[in-house]
Amino acid sequence: MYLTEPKMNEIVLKQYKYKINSYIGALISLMMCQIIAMAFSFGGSGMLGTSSDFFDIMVHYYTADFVFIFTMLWAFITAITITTKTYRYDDFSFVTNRLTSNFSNVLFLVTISLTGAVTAVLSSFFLKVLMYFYFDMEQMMIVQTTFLEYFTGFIGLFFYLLLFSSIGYFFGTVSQISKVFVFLIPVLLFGSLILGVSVPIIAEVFQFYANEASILLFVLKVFVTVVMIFSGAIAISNQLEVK
Amino acid sequence: MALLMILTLLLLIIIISVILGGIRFSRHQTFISEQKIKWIFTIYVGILAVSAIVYMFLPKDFYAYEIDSKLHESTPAPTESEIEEINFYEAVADGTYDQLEGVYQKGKWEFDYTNDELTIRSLDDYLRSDIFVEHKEMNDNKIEAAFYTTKSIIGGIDVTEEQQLPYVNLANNILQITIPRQVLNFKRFDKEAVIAQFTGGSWIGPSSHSITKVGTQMLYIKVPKDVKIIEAENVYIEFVENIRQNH
Repeated sequence: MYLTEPKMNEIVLKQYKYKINSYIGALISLMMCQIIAMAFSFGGSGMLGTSSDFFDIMVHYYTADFVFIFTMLWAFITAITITTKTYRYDDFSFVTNRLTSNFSNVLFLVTISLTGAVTAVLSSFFLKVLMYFYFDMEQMMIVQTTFLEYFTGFIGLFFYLLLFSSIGYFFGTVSQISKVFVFLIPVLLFGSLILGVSVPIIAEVFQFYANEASILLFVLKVFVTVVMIFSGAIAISNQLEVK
Repeated sequence: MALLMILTLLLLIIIISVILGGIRFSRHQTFISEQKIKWIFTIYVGILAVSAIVYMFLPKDFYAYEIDSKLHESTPAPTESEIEEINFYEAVADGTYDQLEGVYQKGKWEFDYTNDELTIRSLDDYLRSDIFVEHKEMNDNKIEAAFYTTKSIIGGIDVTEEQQLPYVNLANNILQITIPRQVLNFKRFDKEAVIAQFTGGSWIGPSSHSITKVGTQMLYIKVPKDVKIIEAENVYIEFVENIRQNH
């Protein structure tokens, strides 16, 4: 059909590069999310109060947890966004098939997950430095974390972000099949949250990842999961019509 | 509670809008160039990176420790004997009160005294500490008082050093004692949940592994042999001679 058939690798790479460049707004929203999260972090993540005969003690706890959580939310939603019409149409300016589309999307998501993880972990230092200058250091203490621990946490967060973005991507893809899903899944999730009804299976799934204390096992679990989810999304999108 | 839910939902909607606005922002508008956006983000990351470097050079005081986590403390973790409850009554009876591990002498007072009567009074509503009075072997016209305390650790934070000394003053044959009640505020930067998941330490909020042990205190007063002690109403004194007799 063509004089020279472009190799799939090249197409995927081209699309990926295009997406990195033109979807840079995603990084801006990452930045804004994290800044908002940091502002919230200043309110503290928790408190412990004790009194005895001699002391009234209040311990205020601070972490960058808000930043981590907001970043996970960002990864989830950004992944959904790139499955919507406008962004799918972008791919048609290339010689493409659904496979290359999906691969370049996955590459994009991996890249932004990495970026999100780096900025989130760095924000923890930023918060500490800010608090050092803002609060009275006489009464501030920091639970010491080694570089290795930070790095382990970074890897963990990167894989969490991969997980969330794969779920978002899957959800977005599935929504193309039927608009029903667009409403069904959020309603189910938020409904159960608001009503306070806990669905035990979700809790168990959550614990499957969250209770894993070994970073290697965790990486393995998430990697397999993410591969499965992305494969599922790709398979589903192949069933869809051209547009 | 309903208000909290609504606020949370509102926040969620705001955040999601921000995120959704993100990619669309860069694709659909032309007044800020791609280059500028890249710069803005690069500067953001730059600031974060610089703060990481600054953090490395900050002086850090660590006196928070937890039993199970792999913390590297600059102050050593408390020993077993420091965490154990110490019964001052027993220690005084034995005479070992000032040699025990985990007991620290925090303050010392000395007064010259030549009267035969001494009233011991508290300026508080009630005295929250044990007071032991020992009559010395001789009349050396000196009153000596020492304040002993064991370690106070609350939520993994050693607050023993923060403890104020009692106020001990002698005036007009009256030994006035006050133990101030302190309000301590601490701010603690904990490990993030994701980091703690793999490295030990607290998962949500204050760690359940943190040691909490409120220390006990006592004031030990030595008076000359023949001085008669009068207790004011709000004070209860343990006389060492009685203790040792009954022991």
